[in-house]
Amino acid sequence: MSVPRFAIVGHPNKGKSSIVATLAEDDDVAISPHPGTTTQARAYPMRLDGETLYELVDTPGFQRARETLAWLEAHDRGAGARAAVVREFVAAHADDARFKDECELLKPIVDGAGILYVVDGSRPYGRQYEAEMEVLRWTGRPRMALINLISAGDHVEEWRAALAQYFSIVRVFDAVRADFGKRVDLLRAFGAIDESWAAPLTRAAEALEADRERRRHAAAAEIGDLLIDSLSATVAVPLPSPEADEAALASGRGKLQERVRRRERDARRSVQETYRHDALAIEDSTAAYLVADVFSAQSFSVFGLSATELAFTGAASGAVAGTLIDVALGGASLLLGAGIGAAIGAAGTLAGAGRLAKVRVLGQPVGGYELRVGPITDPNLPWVLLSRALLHAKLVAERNHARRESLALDARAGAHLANDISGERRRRLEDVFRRLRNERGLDAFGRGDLTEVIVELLDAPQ
Amino acid sequence: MPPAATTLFEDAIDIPLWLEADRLTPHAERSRRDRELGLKLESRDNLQRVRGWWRAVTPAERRAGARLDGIRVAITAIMALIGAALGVSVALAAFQYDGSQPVNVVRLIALLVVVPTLFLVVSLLLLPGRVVVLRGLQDLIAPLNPGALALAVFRRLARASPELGVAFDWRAGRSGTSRVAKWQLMRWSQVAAVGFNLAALVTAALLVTFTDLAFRWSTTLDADPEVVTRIVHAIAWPWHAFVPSAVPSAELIAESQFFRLDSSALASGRALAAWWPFTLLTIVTYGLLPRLVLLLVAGARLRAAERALLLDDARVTALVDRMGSPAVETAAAEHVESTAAPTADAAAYHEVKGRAHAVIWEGCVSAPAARAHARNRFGLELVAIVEAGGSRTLGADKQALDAIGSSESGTVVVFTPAWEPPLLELLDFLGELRRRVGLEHSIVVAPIADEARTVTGVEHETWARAVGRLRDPKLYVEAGV
Repeated sequence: MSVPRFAIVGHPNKGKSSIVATLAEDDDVAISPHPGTTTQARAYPMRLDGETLYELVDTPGFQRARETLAWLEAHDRGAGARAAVVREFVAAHADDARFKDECELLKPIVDGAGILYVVDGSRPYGRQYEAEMEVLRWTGRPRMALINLISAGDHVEEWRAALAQYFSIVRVFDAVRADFGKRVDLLRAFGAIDESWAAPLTRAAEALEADRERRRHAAAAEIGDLLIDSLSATVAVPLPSPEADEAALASGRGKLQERVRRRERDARRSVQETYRHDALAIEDSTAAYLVADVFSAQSFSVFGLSATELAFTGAASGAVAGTLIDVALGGASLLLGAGIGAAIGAAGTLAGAGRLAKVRVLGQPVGGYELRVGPITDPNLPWVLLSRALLHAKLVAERNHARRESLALDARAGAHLANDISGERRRRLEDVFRRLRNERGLDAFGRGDLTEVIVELLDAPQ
Repeated sequence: MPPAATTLFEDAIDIPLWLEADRLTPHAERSRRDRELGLKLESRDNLQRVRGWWRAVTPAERRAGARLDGIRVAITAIMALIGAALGVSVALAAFQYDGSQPVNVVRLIALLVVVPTLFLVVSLLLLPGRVVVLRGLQDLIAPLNPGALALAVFRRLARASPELGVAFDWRAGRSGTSRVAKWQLMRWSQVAAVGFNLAALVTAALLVTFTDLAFRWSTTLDADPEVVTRIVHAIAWPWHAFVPSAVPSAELIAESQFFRLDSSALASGRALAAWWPFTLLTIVTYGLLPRLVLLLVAGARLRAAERALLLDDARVTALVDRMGSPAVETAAAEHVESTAAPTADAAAYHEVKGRAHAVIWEGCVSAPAARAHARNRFGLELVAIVEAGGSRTLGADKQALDAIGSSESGTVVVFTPAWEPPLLELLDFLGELRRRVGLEHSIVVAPIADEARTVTGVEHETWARAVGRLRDPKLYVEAGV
């Protein structure tokens, strides 16, 4: 069975490359508001462990459709021979610079590719498209029309009526805004234009869905590791005496902060790579809070928990620990354990706010002293890191590869995005944060649990 | 050529560091490479798979792990040597006998069993972790532990990589590296202790073999021989069933008590020499064997900690996922550099009063609207309008060109749909139009917006750029609004 191939064809500048970029998740596809960016056909195979399940072919647009059709009509030998006439056209004009674009776009079709004809449904239908649609009809290949929406206008119904004359399947597909589900739906729909392609395309869709799930997990694991690494980071500054002066303390804190910043950058890069957005930039403007320093007051205000929620979270976590005592005492403590635990949790959390990290001076067995700064004890910093990472991951995951502008975030100071995380999840997370703060480490199972919570947060945002 | 075998410790250091640097490799390339290698590896054990991958993916070269492992091996050897030297010294002191005074069994047990046992307890106190009640005590006793000292030396020598230096601190929480550090500390302690006990045992055996020793027991305390007999028998309980001759009898014990002021101390030397099997087995049972067991335990736990250090690392976990997950690739197989289009824009056409002909391309505007546009924007009166492009045939286009060419030509305005791209067939038409009207007349391309919109900057730029490609000095594009 041959591999399904689809030639994405149409008028220039109607979003063919955007559709390819979206479906192939390839930032490398040249997309420009100016026509003629695509000058040669380029294949985008979808491979599963090296096996090609389908292939998209991006092509240049029609430039001389009427002349092409005139040539075909001049060589017409009846309906049964029209596909052969198209093949003859390609062969006859292979070295003709005037028909370079037509040959580039028709060659994959005469070689057996299905046709995905792309139009811009935001602009009016015009009869100038009929020549190229007629040329495509001459090829006799299975074909589907996609109404792309490049700008704000709505001429979809007008287009739908016209396209139905030439194509048995017409779908609307917004290449720039389509989410993953719509992309997979479209892929499955390709199977409808030739039933022999349905099975490999279904397999491809399932592979893409499974891969998407793995990517979500990988992104969650990366965010979890960002939290683990940042919250357990410790830096050392050699000291000549057991007294740490302000300069040494500042140096230690600075090193620790830089380490967290670097780790956050690495995590973002990794998440972007996971979603194949390697080159995506984060908008560098005052409105884009993602670029604000993670330790800035602005970041704490936008992403962290509010003081009240911070106290509640500390209290809830402390109450759980206290409840264990109540249970151990068979209820004889009249829930005093839970109450005291909650009070200690809340007080401890509020007392820790604003203090960056644990600071110690340790003597060395072989002489000298070491200032240890870390792990981080500020109870709000993990929430800031988590909220920033979640928001970034969601923006990246939902982002379409046809969009080429930078990533920007619409949030406001004082939003306290972490407040939106449900109480139950917040308690589970706080337990992990407390473990890391207390240097109790996190084994592979603990790490797995943390990843699961983050997957839930990515899935069902707050 | 396959790389030389590396230790698990080396791999636990080098693989994560290599993977960190590998982050610069494009994600798709990493996924493809790791999946391909993963499919070739037969083992299902993640450790074997990761190490197999490592052997396949990297050339044999000395890395940070090899350097640290070299330091580790050297420290292990030094610890064994120090322990052995100490064992020989202590044994020589404990078994010292010049014929004047017998070897005091009490002192011997104290030196070779009690003191090392105290050291053992000290070592074990470092194991439970940094819990609140133990932390102070641990800080106090750490300098007494040879393993802790060895670890401090290791960290100092490993300082070329500062983060690793901090990481291998047994006091730094329960991270993977601190677990490795703790069991490495324990292993070095046991290596020194085993060296100590083995050397003491060999020294004692040599002294027993090549010199004549006499053993008695002596203490200032008011010790009843019967109590001492019970203590000795309790000490000898582990081997009394296997080596009964190494259990001193009550008579021998009673007979062996001595006081240094007592001149008859050496009266029955042959009988008193019978203590030696007891002393040697005491060293084996209470000195050597526990240390050997602990050495094995520490070795096993160290290996488990190294395994966890490698496999729990986030970068390695991601690698395992990549090796085990089907590689899905959707991007183009090869990168193509996009080439920028030439940007010689056509000149902008402003108002020039007069009469003109017009072509409406692809029916983008009605004739009255075209007239109004020409009047309002250019001050031109359209004397004739023809239609071309769109659904019309090439023959119809030719007729339109003929119509304009046969008239007394002046300026020609070509109305085009601004939202559509300038196709080559339009440029062909403009070229033919120029041929028909001659070089002296202006041709103005006027992109018209659809509905109530105005022509956007991008649309204007697109048309100016496309028309500019014809390099016709009297071919203009209407100036942008």
